[in-house]
Amino acid sequence: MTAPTTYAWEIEARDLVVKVGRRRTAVDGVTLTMGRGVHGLLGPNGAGKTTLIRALATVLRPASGTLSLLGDPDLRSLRRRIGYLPQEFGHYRRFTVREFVEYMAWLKEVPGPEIPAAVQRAVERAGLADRADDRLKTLSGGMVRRAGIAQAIVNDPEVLLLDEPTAGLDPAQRLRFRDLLTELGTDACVVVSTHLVEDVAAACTDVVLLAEGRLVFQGTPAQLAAAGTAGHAGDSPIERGYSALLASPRQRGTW
Amino acid sequence: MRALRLELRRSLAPWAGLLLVAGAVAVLYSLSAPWWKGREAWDAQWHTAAEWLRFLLVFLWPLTVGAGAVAGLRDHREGTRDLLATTARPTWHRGAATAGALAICLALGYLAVFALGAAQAVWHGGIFHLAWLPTTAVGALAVVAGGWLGMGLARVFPSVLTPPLLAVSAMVALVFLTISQDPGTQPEQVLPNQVVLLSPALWAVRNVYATVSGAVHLGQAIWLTGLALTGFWLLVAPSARLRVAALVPVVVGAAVALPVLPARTFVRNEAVSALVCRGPACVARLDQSSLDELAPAAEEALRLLRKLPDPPTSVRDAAQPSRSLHTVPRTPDVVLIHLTGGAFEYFEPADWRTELVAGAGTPTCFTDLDSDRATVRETAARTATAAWFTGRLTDLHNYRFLREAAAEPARQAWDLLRALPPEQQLRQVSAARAVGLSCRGDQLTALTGGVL
Repeated sequence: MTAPTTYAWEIEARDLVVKVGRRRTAVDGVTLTMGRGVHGLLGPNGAGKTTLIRALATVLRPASGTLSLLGDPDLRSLRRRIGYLPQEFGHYRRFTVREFVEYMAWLKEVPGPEIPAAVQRAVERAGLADRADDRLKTLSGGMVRRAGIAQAIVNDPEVLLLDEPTAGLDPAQRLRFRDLLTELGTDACVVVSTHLVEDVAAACTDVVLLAEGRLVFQGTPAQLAAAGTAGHAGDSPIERGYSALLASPRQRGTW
Repeated sequence: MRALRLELRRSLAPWAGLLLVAGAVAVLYSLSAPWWKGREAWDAQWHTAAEWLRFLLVFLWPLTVGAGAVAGLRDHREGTRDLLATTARPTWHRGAATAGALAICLALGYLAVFALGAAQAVWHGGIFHLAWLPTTAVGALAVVAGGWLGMGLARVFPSVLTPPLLAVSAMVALVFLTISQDPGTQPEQVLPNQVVLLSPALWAVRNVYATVSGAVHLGQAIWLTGLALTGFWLLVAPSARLRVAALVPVVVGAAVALPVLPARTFVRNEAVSALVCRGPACVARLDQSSLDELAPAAEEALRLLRKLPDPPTSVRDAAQPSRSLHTVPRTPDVVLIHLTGGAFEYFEPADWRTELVAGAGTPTCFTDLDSDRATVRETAARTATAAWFTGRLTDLHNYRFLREAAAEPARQAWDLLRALPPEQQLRQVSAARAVGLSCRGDQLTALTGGVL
């Protein structure tokens, strides 16, 4: 289905610097590589997670450093192969779920004859098949989030970028979503930004920890858990590892 | 097509089209206004329907600009900028679907209102000819241009204040430009007609025998196309520099259109004003049905007028509104009449003979705007000359104050005239006729040999 792979990593960033506005440097010299699998992007508020994802989604251009996605220098063909769910998922409220996903498929240049089937598949995978013909404005927050996931996966992306996808989902939905992530990660590079450490533990093959725009850690969930000791704050080993890695003198604030 | 179909079903475009129809119908049907009156009524003729609708653009065009701006705020309102910025399809594809849906709905709405007028024109026996087509096409282009301009400007200035501000500004500009077209304001003293015609709204329909000139259509089409392209460009331009470049179409459009646009907006509508004759009586095609009654009256009147040394040989309708009758050239061989808005409309055909021989076969030289004294004297002379031919003194159709003021001098003139020898009578009637043909001098003085 996909072209022969001519790149080592789906995502490859070197000394990546991304600015928000003219002044603020939100991502400051990050070097990392990501391949297929599910990559959990962790970090406190303001760590640069959203900015990194927006740069990966080609919304923001790097101020310096290099960023290579799928080894594809052509923006238009690259964008056909990316799926993106922004933190603030803007959507046309008057459209039905199916129509909005169809519209996004058209924008992602999914070939016309394939669109209806691709839309149906995406809506089903997001668990919205029974509400597919309801207008987005009638859906609850969690369902809108799932509609956002459906539009992100409608083009079978090779790089899937999900910014806080579990916000607004109830516990049962989150469990189903973890299964979906695992499934998607088998043939795509999925980057999930989240606050919820347990999501990462359950569904991710790889963890990236950011703090103040810098890469603090990249490794498996097990390696993250191993970094913590009983003395660190947290209810689970992975939470304690998270606390341990972030407990550097550069951390500010009370919580 | 897929995106266009979605936009047609789910965007605000259908509502913008409905708003246009509702606004037009509300203005047309809730007011007793000039567009319901006389032969120029909006439901009387195909071309008057088209032209009145263009006049209504004074209200409707700002509405389309505002509606376009509301539609153009969608991405800002729904916060979809990030999401849509990462899609592969070029921005202008997406813009074409959004703007295309708006254009389709606005144009259809405009055409629907025209169809309402045209259907009534058919019902009322209006003459079908194609003058409505360019007038309506330019009107439809105007609403599309307005919608796109609103959309584009809302993209550049994404604020909830943008739609109302744009609509109000457009309204102010159009009202100013439209008022400048009023013949009463002497437009050349306010603004050159070419500049006035940059407004898509035409001045109120005043002359059913006229139509908008081809040069106006061409110039306005060029200008409005430029305006529409600028709106579309603003909608899809990704950077500030390209937005500045979006001004190019509108500037080029104005530069090309201004030399094309003419100094006079309206020209004679040949299709409705071409003469149709029966016997010696000729009227515009629009008034063909009046020939049944006019032809016998004309023959009778011409027979009476044969007493004159240079008798006229035909009766011809001026095919002009009464206001401009004095601009029509007068010749001795033709009795020039004005079928509408005057005696022929308000009198029974039985009385038309008197009207035809009044002034010894010449129409009045005065309009409503002229001095009362001169008009009274002319009315008296015309009444007396009519009596000289028919043998009976009767009032002519006119304003009551004119009839009453002219009654006594008319009787005196008639008595004076009858007392003269026949050759002298003919000489003085001929002198009055000469005044009526040239509109120089005083008819009553000529008729009475200077006695009155």
